[in-house]
Amino acid sequence: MSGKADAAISIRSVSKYYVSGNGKKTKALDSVDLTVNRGEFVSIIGPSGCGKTTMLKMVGGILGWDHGEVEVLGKAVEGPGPERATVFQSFALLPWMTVIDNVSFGLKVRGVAKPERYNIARGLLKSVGLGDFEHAYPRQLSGGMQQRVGLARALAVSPQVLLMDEPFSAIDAQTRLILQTDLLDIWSKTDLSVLFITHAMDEAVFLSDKVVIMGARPGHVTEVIDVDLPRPRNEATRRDSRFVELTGRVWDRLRGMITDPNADVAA
Amino acid sequence: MVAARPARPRAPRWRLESMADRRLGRLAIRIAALVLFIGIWQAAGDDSINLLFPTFTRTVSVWWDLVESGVLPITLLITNQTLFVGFLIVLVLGIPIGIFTARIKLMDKIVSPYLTFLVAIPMIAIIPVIQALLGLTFAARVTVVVLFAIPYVVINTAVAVRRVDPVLTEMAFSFGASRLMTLRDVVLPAAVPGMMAGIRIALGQALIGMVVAELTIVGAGIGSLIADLQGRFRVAPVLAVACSIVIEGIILMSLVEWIERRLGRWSKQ
Ligand SMILES: Nc1ncnc2c1ncn2[C@@H]1O[C@H](COP(=O)(O)OP(=O)(O)OP(=O)(O)O)[C@@H](O)[C@H]1O
Ligand SMILES: [Mg+2]
Repeated sequence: MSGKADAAISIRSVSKYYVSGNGKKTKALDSVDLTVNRGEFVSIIGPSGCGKTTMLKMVGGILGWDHGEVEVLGKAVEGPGPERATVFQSFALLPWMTVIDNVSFGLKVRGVAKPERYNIARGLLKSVGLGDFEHAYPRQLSGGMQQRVGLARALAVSPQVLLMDEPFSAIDAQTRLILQTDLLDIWSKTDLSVLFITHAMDEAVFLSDKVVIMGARPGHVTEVIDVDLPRPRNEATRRDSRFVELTGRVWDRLRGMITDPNADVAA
Repeated sequence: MVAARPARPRAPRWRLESMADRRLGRLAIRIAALVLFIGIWQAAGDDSINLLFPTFTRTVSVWWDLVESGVLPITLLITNQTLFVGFLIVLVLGIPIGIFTARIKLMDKIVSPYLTFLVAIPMIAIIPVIQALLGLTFAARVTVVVLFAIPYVVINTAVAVRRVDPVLTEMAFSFGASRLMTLRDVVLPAAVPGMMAGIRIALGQALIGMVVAELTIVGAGIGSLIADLQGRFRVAPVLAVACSIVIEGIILMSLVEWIERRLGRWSKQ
């Protein structure tokens, strides 16, 4: 059965077990439902170990699941696909390659000839503000700049679905705010659907149309909060009383899980 | 879009200069140490009879005689054939075995005990076995070189491949890269610095293996030349020949270290 026609990502009743070395089975996800509509920006937030990364990897096609269905653009996920691209928390740049070769990596994998992939990569480097750095090596760039390269690499393959696992968590707080606005800027010019994992509540609210709150042991969705802040969002958004209210609401939901790790399971 | 602040593309000048200064300083210390060493050698030598330890100058002049007569160049050539063929086999076999050992559990189970064996026992002890199997041949000498050196290439390659950040292979996979592509474009380049370290150690071992093989499996090359001269109590030529090998070793090791530094530049910092 196929999901709603306008769903970019559709996760239905998905459960996942990990089997550890000694054969012990642990339930990482318990009957999770989640929908990301086309063009939507959805964030997942939840305590450490609640299965956020697990879920993103399943959508990315690099991890299997035990029960339920995962669909991307109406098609069951069977592995990685050209319509999806991932941005990694630790950037995952290849340190022996220059910036432009890193950005072209996905295109090279897909057999795009060098002049063409460099052309595409140059355009994207410009759009992430790194036009002058194509011949630099990752180690010569700051963390924020490295993640811009990571973003450009993901965008280079012209995906329709962008998966981001805590992409800004290794970046200093100020640079992070700039990256958030820049990401929204780029996203607004495309019809990209984004699934974004974060631990930062303000980040989740600022970026998203929907914030999905997850609980742990085993991982499950506790609540989906609609973010009705107008777009385009900018620095003024951060001072908006509605923004503060929504951020507070996310924190209220999460606080209980963190102070009492078992409260959520009992509920 | 906010333009990123331009980073300095190169290290500032003063750092380069101080690096050059440091390099010069290191060179000066090395030359001073060498001069001191030669001085002590010269003073300690006694050229009155052949049996005694020769002076530096006499060793050099004997060395030159050996070069001029063509004896040394020919023996070096023969010896290096063993080294060259042996080391080539070490690389061609060792690197793939290392990769498979890292990637395939069964291969690891099969190969590991032999590696432990080769590293743990004194290699000299199995030379008689090789001699019994292969006789006083070129093949026997090459085998010794290979057995001396190959464990270090296999072990270091396997460790380097295992240490590749799994996030990088995951990244490649997420972009749809095949296993072969991931191996070629991600795993191998990432493992090069570790592999080169193994190759450097293996070269040292191969040099030892080469001389040991010729000294014990008498047949040809530097080893047998040394054995022959020693038999006639000609200490100065023995020393001259030994020094040639040492110098060749230093040159080859420097070459490999240079390649290692070039290929591994990205992994520094
Ligand atoms: N390869 C694995 N083998 C066994 N258990 C695993 C494995 N990967 C994850 N887990 C377990 O599954 C659960 C979910 O892990 P996951 O990494 O998805 O959490 P997360 O929400 O991304 O956490 P974080 O916020 O710390 O990144 C955790 O309890 C974790 O210990
Ligand atoms: Mg995670």
